[in-house]
Amino acid sequence: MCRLTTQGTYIRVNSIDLLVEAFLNKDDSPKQIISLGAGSDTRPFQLLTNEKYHNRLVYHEIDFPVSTSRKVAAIVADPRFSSAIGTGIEKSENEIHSETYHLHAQDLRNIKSDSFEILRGMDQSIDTLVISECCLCYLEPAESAAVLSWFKSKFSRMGCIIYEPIGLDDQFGRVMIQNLAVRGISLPTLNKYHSLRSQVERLVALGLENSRAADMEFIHDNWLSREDNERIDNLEFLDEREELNLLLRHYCIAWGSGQSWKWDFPENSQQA
Amino acid sequence: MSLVDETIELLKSCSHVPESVVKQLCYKAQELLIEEGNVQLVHTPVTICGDIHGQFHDLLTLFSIGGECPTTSYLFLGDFVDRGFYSLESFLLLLCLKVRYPDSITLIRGNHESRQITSAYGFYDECLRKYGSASVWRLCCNVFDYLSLSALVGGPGGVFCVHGGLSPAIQNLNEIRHIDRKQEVPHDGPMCDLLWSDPDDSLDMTNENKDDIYDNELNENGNGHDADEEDAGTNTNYRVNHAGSGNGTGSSGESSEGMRSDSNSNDEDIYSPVSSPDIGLNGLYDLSKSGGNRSTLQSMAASWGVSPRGAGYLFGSLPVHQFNHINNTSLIARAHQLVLEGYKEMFDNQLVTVWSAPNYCYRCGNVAAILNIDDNYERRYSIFHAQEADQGTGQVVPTKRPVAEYFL
Repeated sequence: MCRLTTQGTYIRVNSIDLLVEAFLNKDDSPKQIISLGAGSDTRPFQLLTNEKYHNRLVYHEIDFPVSTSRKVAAIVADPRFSSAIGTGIEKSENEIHSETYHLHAQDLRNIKSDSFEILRGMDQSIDTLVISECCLCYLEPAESAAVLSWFKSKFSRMGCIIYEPIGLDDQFGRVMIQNLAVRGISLPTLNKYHSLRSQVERLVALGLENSRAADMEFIHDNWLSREDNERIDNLEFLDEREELNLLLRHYCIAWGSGQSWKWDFPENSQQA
Repeated sequence: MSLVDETIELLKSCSHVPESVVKQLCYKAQELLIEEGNVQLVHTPVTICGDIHGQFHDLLTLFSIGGECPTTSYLFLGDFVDRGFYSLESFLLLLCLKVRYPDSITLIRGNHESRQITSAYGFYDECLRKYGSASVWRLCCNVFDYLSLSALVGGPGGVFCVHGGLSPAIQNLNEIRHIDRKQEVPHDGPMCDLLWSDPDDSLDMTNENKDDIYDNELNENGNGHDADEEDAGTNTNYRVNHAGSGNGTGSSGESSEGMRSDSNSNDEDIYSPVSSPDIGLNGLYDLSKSGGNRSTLQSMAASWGVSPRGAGYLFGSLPVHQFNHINNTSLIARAHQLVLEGYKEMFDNQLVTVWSAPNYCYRCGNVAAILNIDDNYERRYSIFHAQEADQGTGQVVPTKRPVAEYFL
């Protein structure tokens, strides 16, 4: 992986961790996290083995069967993962369920009609955080809105974190769209949610009134600790910042919650 | 047809250049380069080019835009290699031209013309891939050590050209001439700074506080400070001010402008000499090492900052004006930093960044520029775009499909 990618991953993972921890620590009540297009993410194993969240966190991951089956195999093969997800483990080829962890093999595009039932182990009464890290941007705009609406209609105490590219209406963005098209990748929602403003409006329209967004350059400079940033810089020396900053300005995190609870984070970006 | 002409033809058809030819070329180039000064004198008119970074097809475009060498005279400001897929071809083409037309092309050294940097950013791997051993890479690195460090275009009122920028240890051109340059780029010191430093607007001072900084703050802070390098390394005062930095909500942010609001801009001015007057001292050399005049260095302290690159310095307006004044130059032309518009003038047009790698890393979407300086030191910029990767039959050279990484 090239150095820019590892830097970008570091910034994304750590900043979303900060928001997730703010969600989990806002009070001691039971919480659930639902991660869309979770892929090979290892965040659930770290959170579920954290004593602070014992007995009050249930983690759901949703992805295509082709992806979840690989994850099932990885969890079964490595005791560090299988022990992390606790007791009562039931597994099939594509899914794994325990008291605290549920891996669902689902095409997200099915999760949009009212009649679609909540998935196994989901609790409609508790604080719920839906996370999309470069996932919903692969759907058509109408589908992505429908998926989010479904979650909001089922989980009244819902908050949401979305990590996506933005600002693709400039020259960098046009090149990015071309380069991705060559690789057979298209991100249909990017035209619709192209700016911080439109990302926030998207969450507000969903009923998450307390919503914000920031680009990753801002987040890197303002949320992450200087010590950690320097440590990372020293691990993989970057001889220039311009390109990294250009990339970082083209990704954002939007996060929001409704009336039921408010984000208590991050202090240095809280503003009326 | 001479060997050099044949090699140029080979390169333009993207054919393999035998190692024995590379060897001859490198030795011949070394013989020429060893005769050049650390401040190589260059006549007008000349066309100044910034970073190339192995974008060979774009280098060919550059020559078609600027005119072929030797009809047009060229000065390349370094960073010929790394990042792009055709570092070797780019560097060899420039070397061929140097050997063929030594008076019509000047090559000076960039921070990427170094063993350490090319090991990490592509050129080493490319040589290994194309030759199966590191011997060609070694030959090229030996040439790097002979490249000049800077150039002076024209006479009085001319243009000082360097890859990165200024050094707090250098006031005048003679101090550059005294550097023993035939070595790997050091990690610090004046030679490193010339290749690594960047200009920084935020170090610029308004006229009101210039006096303060000259007379009071700097003397106060400077007197108590022994320019202890350890001190400088542990100083954390120049961190972004977290406390009370009010930021606009996302809904007030413009596209891709982050959450910065006007009220926050001062907090982000992290090297501001006004909010943190001792910062500039981080950028100072141990005075005994630099051999510079103590009071001059102190007066300039607030104009220097720590570089986020981990080498070289950030410098503000004052050192640029002083340098041009002392050396009777009208402009500092440098490269080293991506500029989306291809070039950027700063500090009352006394410094310009020229960037000549369009769509840098096949991803950035930027245009490129070259700068022509005529006999009256008038500046004329030419802008050019990246060659489309899949131009089909019109393609001069077969292109490897670049894969640009994104955070997906």
